[in-house]
Amino acid sequence: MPGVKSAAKAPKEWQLRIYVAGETDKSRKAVENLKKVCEEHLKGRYAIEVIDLVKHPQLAAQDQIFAVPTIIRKLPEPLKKLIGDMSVSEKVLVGLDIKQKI
Amino acid sequence: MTIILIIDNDPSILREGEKFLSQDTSMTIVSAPSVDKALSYLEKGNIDIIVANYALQIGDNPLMSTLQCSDIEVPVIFYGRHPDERVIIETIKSGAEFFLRLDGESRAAFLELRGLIEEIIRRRRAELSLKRTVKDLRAIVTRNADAMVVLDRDGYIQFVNPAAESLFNMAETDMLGKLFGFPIVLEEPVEMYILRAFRKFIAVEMRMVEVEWKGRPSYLVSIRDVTWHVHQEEELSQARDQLEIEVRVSREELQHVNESLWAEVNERRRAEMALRESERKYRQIVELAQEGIWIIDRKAIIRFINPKLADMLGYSAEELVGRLSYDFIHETSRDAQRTAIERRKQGIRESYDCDLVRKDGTKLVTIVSAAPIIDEDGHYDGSLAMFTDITRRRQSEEELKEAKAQAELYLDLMGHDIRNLSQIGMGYIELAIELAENEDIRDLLQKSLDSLKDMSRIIDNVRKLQREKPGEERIASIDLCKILRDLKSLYEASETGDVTINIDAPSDCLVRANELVTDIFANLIGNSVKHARPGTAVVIDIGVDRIKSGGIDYLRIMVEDNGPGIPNWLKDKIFMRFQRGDTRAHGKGLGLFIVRALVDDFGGKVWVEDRVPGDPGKGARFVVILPAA
Repeated sequence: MPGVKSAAKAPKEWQLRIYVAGETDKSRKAVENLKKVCEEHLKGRYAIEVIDLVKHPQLAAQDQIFAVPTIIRKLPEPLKKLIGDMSVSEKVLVGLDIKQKI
Repeated sequence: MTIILIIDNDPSILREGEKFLSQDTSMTIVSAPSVDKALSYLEKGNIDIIVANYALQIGDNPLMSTLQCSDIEVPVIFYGRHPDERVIIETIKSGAEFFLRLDGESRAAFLELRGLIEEIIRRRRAELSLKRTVKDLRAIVTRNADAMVVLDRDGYIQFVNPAAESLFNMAETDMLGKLFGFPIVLEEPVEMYILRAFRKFIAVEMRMVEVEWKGRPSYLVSIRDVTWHVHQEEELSQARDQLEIEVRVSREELQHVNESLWAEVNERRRAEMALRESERKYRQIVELAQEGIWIIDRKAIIRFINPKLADMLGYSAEELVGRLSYDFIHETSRDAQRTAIERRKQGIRESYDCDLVRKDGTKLVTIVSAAPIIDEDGHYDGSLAMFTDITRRRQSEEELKEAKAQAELYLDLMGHDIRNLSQIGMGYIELAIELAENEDIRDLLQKSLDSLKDMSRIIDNVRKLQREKPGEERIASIDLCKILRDLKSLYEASETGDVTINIDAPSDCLVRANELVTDIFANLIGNSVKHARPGTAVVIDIGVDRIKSGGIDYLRIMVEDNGPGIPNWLKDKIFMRFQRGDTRAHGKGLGLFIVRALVDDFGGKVWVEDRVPGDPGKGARFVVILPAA
């Protein structure tokens, strides 16, 4: 699977995937914010896969990505999809149900 | 106002209806005795409600069917006497609002009808209003340029408007039920990208609000394509960046120009200061100069004059500037000055004597050093002249000349008259010696004679020195060998003692000198004889050879004797004036001084060394170098 793993290969409790559009400041910021949130609340228990749809355009249709940035929570189930600005960590926490789950 | 159309072919019913319903002032009653008449009223379109006998028919069609076929959406209330239940149900099913039984008293029935009509009208109005609202809202949603997507709480698509279909380039059916995503930010516009047909990135501004959709909490996502704005912004940003670059470049250029300007200003300041300093320096030089300076233009008008020259002439500088320079040239120099100006025009610089005339009319004797001033085009533009007052110098020169003439007179006096007188004296003494019988007296007379001879020789030497002036005697080719041979004959024949002179010379020994060259060798030979050891035969060897130095031919003449020699300490000094060797011989110290002076004058050299090198006591060797002819 293309992308960049930011954590070890062993299966993690939290498996997230973030879709971005190109290597722009906005993309970097979205990824950094997500990492920051995970590092603060899910340290050692998460894996983030970054997918650049500019590099892998076929994944947009495959994964039904309507907008970027989009975060998909693959695990824990059920699958969740978040769209929009990742800069407000509180919203990301609520959106991914991290607050309830931790 | 509610307009009510009553349709019945029974005129009594129409009358009663009009009577009871018109009591309500908010109702207007229109009566139609036939269905055709009723339809003509309905076509006008202002009927709010129809009240009709259910039994009325048009042909075989019941009235309700006719009304429905005519697209008339006016609420209908039917009435009838003793209808069965089936008729009532069908009438309501076919779309009638109500069925009014006219079974009892008609007054009560019409009162109930009035209440019904009011209720129906109220409901109808509310419905119409709602319909309008829905219509408006639908128009807003469907005709809106912004894409609208309604999501449920989990982010699944529940509704999309046509603009959303267009923006995502997907059919509504392909979108409904798909997981769009849970919006993170609510009620704030967010700039992000959507994917058109999952392929193309479109910059959008997305706004999400919580709404209720079909009774369930949902999200309405409105999406506006801002590609154009982004494009505009990018262009604006680029333009701004470009502008910034230009501004920066301009600023840098400006800064550079500014720096250059400052550098230029500073350079100019420095240059100006240097110029001022230079001007001050030159002004000082010019003003404090001991020479008088003026600058005249091409018409010989005084353009500048320094204080010194003005002072020399007895004027102020202001009085002189603008005046013709010739006015201040003494008449004795005026022609020469005109010629000089002509030479200046030819670019010649030179020094010459020039007499000026002072304000008081007296002559100012000067030597002038003049140079032409050439303009940028290379043309004569005047001249600069520096005048040195030589009145005193010329006076001194004249005094010197006078003094010299006087001295020469004395020398002539001494050379001729005194020498002649001493010769006479010597003659008498020699005669007295011969006549004297007493030895002591003879001895005394001899000493007097020797003193006179010394005096006579001094006078000869002084005369020679006086005569020996550069340029006064012509330099020519002189046969030195002949001179030496004559001297040999003279000295060997002398009665003063036993003298032998050996000469070893080439046949050609011409030198560039004058007749005074004889004195050089007469002095040297005379010295050898005079300073010889007492009682010893004097032997003088003279050797002549030709040498070359610096590309010039010289004759080297070596005069050796067997006398007491010259001690080392004295070798450098014996050529000095009145410096005598430590000898017993008489002498006034002028002989070798004359030798040196003559040799120098002829461009030669003279020195003394030991005849036997390192042994001064074995005799002296005088070496004379003279230019060969």
